[in-house]
Amino acid sequence: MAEEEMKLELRGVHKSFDGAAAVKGLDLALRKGEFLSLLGPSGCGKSTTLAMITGFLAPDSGEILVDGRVVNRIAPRKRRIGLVFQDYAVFSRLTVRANLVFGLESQGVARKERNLAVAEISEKLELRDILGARGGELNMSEMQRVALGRVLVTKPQLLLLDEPMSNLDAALRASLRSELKQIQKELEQTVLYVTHDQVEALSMSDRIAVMRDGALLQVGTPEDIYNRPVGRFVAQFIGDPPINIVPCRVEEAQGKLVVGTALHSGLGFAGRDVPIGDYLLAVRPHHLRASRAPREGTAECEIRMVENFGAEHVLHVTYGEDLVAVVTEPGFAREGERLHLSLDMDQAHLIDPLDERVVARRRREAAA
Amino acid sequence: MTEVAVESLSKSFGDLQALRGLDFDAAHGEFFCVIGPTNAGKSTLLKTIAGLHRPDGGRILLSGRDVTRAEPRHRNVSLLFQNIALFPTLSGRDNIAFPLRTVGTGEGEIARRVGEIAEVLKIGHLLDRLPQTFSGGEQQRVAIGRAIARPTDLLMLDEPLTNLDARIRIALRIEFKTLHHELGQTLIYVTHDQVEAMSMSDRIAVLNKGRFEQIGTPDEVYHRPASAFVARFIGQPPMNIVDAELSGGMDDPRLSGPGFSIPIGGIEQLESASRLPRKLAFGLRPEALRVAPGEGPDTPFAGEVVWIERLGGKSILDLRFAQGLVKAVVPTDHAVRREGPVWLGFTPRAEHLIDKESELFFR
Repeated sequence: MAEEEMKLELRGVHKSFDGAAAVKGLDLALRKGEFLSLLGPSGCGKSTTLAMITGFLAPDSGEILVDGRVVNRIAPRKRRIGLVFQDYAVFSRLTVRANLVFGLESQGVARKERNLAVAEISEKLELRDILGARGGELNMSEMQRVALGRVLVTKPQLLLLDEPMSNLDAALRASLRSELKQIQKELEQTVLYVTHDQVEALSMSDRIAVMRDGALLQVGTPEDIYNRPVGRFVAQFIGDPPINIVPCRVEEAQGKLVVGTALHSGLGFAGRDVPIGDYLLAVRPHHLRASRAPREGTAECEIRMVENFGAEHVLHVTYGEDLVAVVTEPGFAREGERLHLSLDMDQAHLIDPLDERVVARRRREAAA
Repeated sequence: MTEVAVESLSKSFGDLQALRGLDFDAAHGEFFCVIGPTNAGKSTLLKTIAGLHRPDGGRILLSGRDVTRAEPRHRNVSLLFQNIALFPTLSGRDNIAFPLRTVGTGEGEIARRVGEIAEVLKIGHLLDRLPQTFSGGEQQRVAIGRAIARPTDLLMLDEPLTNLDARIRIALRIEFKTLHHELGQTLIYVTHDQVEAMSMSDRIAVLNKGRFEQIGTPDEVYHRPASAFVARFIGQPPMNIVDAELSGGMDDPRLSGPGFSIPIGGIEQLESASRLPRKLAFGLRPEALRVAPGEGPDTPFAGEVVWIERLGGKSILDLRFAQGLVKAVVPTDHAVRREGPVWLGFTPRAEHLIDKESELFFR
């Protein structure tokens, strides 16, 4: 990828507070028109990273480039970055038009150009009919579009969104996700989206960068991150219900390496050769199969808890010393009943218990 | 034994009618969830039960005792507000112990109880620290610990998971349910998140503009919603509601529209079967919609996938067909994986027929 096509680059960006490293040598690049999510738990360094990109914090070392230009010493408002805050923060007493004009006025754009730019963006974001409405009168969809419009009207090289939906009703978030993604795609706007919500990251991103303790653990497409996590943390952070992790052992049987858990034995896998020993086995609740009657390769488990999600039920069942979750059709079984579980190694990941990295998985495409 | 009984409860603030005659019972040990959008009246309901608001009308009974006019401290209830405030100068341990000390619990018992709670909520590392060093999620967990420290007749939680990281929310959902099992305490849990309501509750009360739209088990509100409001609020993506006409008479009742005419199952079980109007609508859960790349007996209607939202294990398809836009949920490895023409099918059930005027399901 040619350098001039990168809208944002972080090169070895580092930041410490009182000797504690908050961001540890971050390398990341966003292509023009790309939607990249920075995903991680509270305190992982997402907000610090964002503050360095916007210029409100200076990195201790490393370079930040916007549209190919090093901006470390450039004032925040001259970086050509648009920032959308949590809850969208639309001025409730100003009209939509005044909200849209706000960013341009602060940049000293002449009135004629301002009007032109507002007309253009309100057309693109379907805000024309509500230009006279006040911020406080808007529904959430309109609010999101005004918040985006207010920033996009300045034609930023890069749009940053900082957990914009985290305080909104769950039902609203779903519709705002689709709308945001469609606007971004249509305008080919480069977006860095900061979130702790894996659903938002999976559903909108071209790529996801998973962050923990100030470092990036994995950068990849949503499909990569979901199906081919590099380690335990990424595997557990993505997916709802969370991935199951149980202890297992790799042994040799009849000249082949096989995996055994507390309840299943002789599970074949065709990953790379791994040393014989103790591992962790990670398998998503959607990839365990439950049946009412025993069959070859099934193990008996007791149902401890049922979570009813309407379209499907998640059963939490005993598995050796652990509980594992398995997804079933509604009404499949009740608390206290027993069921028979089979485990599909095709969908499982073998994790080294010490460094917590995935060492093998069956999926052929995974061979790294 | 009924632990909580609320009868015709109403409360206004000036012109705003926050609660418009609410009735419900919660049984001893029940996990009773009140769900609704912002401003439905959820928090007002909790505060009124706790005694922080005086109702304009109606009664509140706790364990059979009328507490409508009782002082909050005489009600033996605990309420965790959405915006929690820990005591900033007390450690995590002393915050949790606070309600126990106010009723003179012995220090040995306090230590045991705090230890138990810390283990369940995974906050052992916070016990000897001050709240200013906690993250938002940690503050919330300590506040939950404080709310459950003293066993009361009734525990009320107002959106306890709302401001937490998504990951912690998922973990706490399961822990809450386990905790509730163990405590056996009657719980009224307020949320706007249908996932929390569905997965944890014994019963769900759907609140809209100060009135209950429906009170029922998770299965009832999901599979037999009373109103379009409930159908749209419970389930994600929400139930599709599609316009249609009734045809074929009672011998062969069919749902018809441009390009489709399908038999309706179970119509004889409707009390209102003989009074159904010709024009109505029907509800269709996204997972009940069949989608295939080609035409077939199960997928006879032409449509188009206009947008796909991929969520890891499953995808949400936005589909256009003769009757408008609908959403379907399919596994990610489903045969339909990209935008373009597809074929659809569905099997309407009588209990999902909706009166277009009242937006109520026919019963």
